[in-house]
Amino acid sequence: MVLTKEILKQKPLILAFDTSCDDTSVALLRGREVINSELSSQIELHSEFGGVVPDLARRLHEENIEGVYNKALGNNPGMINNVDYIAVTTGPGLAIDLEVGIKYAKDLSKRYNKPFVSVNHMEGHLFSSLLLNSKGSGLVNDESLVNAFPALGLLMSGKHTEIVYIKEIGKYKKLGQTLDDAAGEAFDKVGRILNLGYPGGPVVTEFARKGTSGVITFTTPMKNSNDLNFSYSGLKTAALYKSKELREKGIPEREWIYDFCRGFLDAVIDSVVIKLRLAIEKNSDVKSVFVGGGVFNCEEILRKVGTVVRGYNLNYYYPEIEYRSDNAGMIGVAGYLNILQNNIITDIKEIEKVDRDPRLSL
Amino acid sequence: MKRVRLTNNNWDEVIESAVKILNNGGLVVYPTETCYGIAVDATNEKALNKLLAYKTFRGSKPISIAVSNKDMAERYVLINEMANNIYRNYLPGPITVVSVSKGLLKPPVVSKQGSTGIRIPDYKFTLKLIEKFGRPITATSANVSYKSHPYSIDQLIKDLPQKSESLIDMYIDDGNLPKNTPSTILDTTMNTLTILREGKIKFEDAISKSTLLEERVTKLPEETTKFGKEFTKEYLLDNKGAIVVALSGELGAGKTQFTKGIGVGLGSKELINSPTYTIINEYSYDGNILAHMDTWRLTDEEEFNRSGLMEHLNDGRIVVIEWADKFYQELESICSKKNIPMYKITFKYISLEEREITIYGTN
Repeated sequence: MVLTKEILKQKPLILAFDTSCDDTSVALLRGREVINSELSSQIELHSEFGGVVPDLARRLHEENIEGVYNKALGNNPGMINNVDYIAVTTGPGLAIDLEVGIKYAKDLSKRYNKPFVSVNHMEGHLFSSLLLNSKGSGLVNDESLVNAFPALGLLMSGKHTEIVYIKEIGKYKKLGQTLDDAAGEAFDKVGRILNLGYPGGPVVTEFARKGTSGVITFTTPMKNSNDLNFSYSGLKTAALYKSKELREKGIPEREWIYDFCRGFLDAVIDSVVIKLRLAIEKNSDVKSVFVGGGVFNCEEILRKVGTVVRGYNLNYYYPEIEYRSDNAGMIGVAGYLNILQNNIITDIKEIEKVDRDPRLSL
Repeated sequence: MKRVRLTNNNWDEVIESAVKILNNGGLVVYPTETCYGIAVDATNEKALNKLLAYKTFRGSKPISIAVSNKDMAERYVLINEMANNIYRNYLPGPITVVSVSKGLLKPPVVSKQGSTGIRIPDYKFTLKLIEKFGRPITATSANVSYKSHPYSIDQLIKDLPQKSESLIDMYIDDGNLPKNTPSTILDTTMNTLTILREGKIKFEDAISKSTLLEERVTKLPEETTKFGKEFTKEYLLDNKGAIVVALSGELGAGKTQFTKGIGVGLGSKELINSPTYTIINEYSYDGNILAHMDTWRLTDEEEFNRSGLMEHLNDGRIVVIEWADKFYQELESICSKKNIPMYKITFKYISLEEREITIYGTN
């Protein structure tokens, strides 16, 4: 679908759910504007020391969903009557997790007679940069959005690493993906390899800031593959071996760990930059690059990708910090795009039939 | 409320006042290298409730605590090898280490899963304060819910609702704090060597009672995949009903590469990649589904049991499980109860490139 400013004037009230992975999330949006976006792991308290404490959310969706739902409605249960659409992630993800959100959404849809919108979690990440605050401001205004396509999408999280060609809203083509480990996962595993703990992303990134490039180096994965696929399992193995080697030599950890993390981060960034450049050069009609996913919590990656994109004179669209990891806000905005394309279900029997699709792809 | 400006000369008296207040269950705002925090006696339930009221809190998200040294931490949590590594090398510093609580502390400084986050702030004054106090204090930032981290007392007071402000008993003002990034949280309770070792022992024990079917050394990931394909054609294709293929080996040993071969062997056209985050990936082949599971991110038996594994087995599918040794006992009992054959495959590093892969049959 080709967007126009006229089409974007529609601003339905959307209630969105995401239970596809660790956290339970519910959001309330008016069009692209977020009114509330709640996560069970952050509820009641702004994450004071950054990042999700892993043992919190723990996929306890059944227990969490009611509370998060109430919070999303601003503790005003009557609000559900004003909602125009109910959107929920139907995939990809762990079936047993997806089912909780889907069931809850279906029940609401039937009980309050609201049209139902199935959302692809990856589409949520891809368009997480489109979220506006409740006053209507954000990175991508309506005019920019209308003129953004064709575009490239780069999605990097614990689960996904993908490059996508976005011809227009609703028309996507996967150009490349990881053949083994996702980028975010690679960080976590290195965190374990370095005996630091979980999650690995924040600590490896933090340590990399204290290190010097070039002291400990890793080969950039898939450098010469001339395709748009990624691979991080080789880098993981190299990191394992390097750390064993350094430990065997008896060098105190504090003397090499910062340079090690720096080298690892450099290799990851290098691999992303190479693929991005190749993608842009192979698709010279693109006007913008949309990025999304938890790996972009790493400010350095966010910045360096931006530098590359702007170097080609393209628009760079990235989500605010609270919408990079899994959240229902982005599901709401992807739901909004579906609504604009009339990808909605109003028939109760059809709603009933909606099932989780753990393998949903773009 | 007393607002005291810290100088080079008044540390002792400020600490004395603060300690008195903390002992009485009061709230003290204090500086750290990451921002201003708010302290109460972490061992005092009434004080903790007062803190929750201050934070305008209704949830059960755990609050970290700050100690002055590792010995104090050790009184309250079990410091395993990973945590020990962090305490030794990186603390004091902006890292919150999550460890299993010994049971002395209660929520909200202990999570639902029974773990506590501990900081040793890299701030001389604060370390002295905690040392003098002799017990842990809470290490949560001084802002109330949804407000930003305070780097100055003025900023904090500006954002404080009246109700919360009235609960503070003392502000220790050390001027504008540098805008450093918040503390990094490291959970050391996952995949500890102890947990992994336990599972490994049981797995190895089961192997010693099984028949060795095949063994091969592979020099490239492609060879590992080929081995997976051949294993599948030989042992999996003819079987009807559920089968478990249990894979054991360290990070990078080839478990996913081998599983790619299983996919190919079954005739799946899909790209098989790591299920670490999704827990279970599903791939279609020939009207069937191959389930590919990874327990690496699962923390306990409860999570293992509600992962959806049972549903796949009940549907008669082939399920490949990476890090199967981690929950070997549970897996074993499921398979013997339901009479599901289990192949056990171990992956060992011989060198950076070479792997020794051994396939054991069902008993």
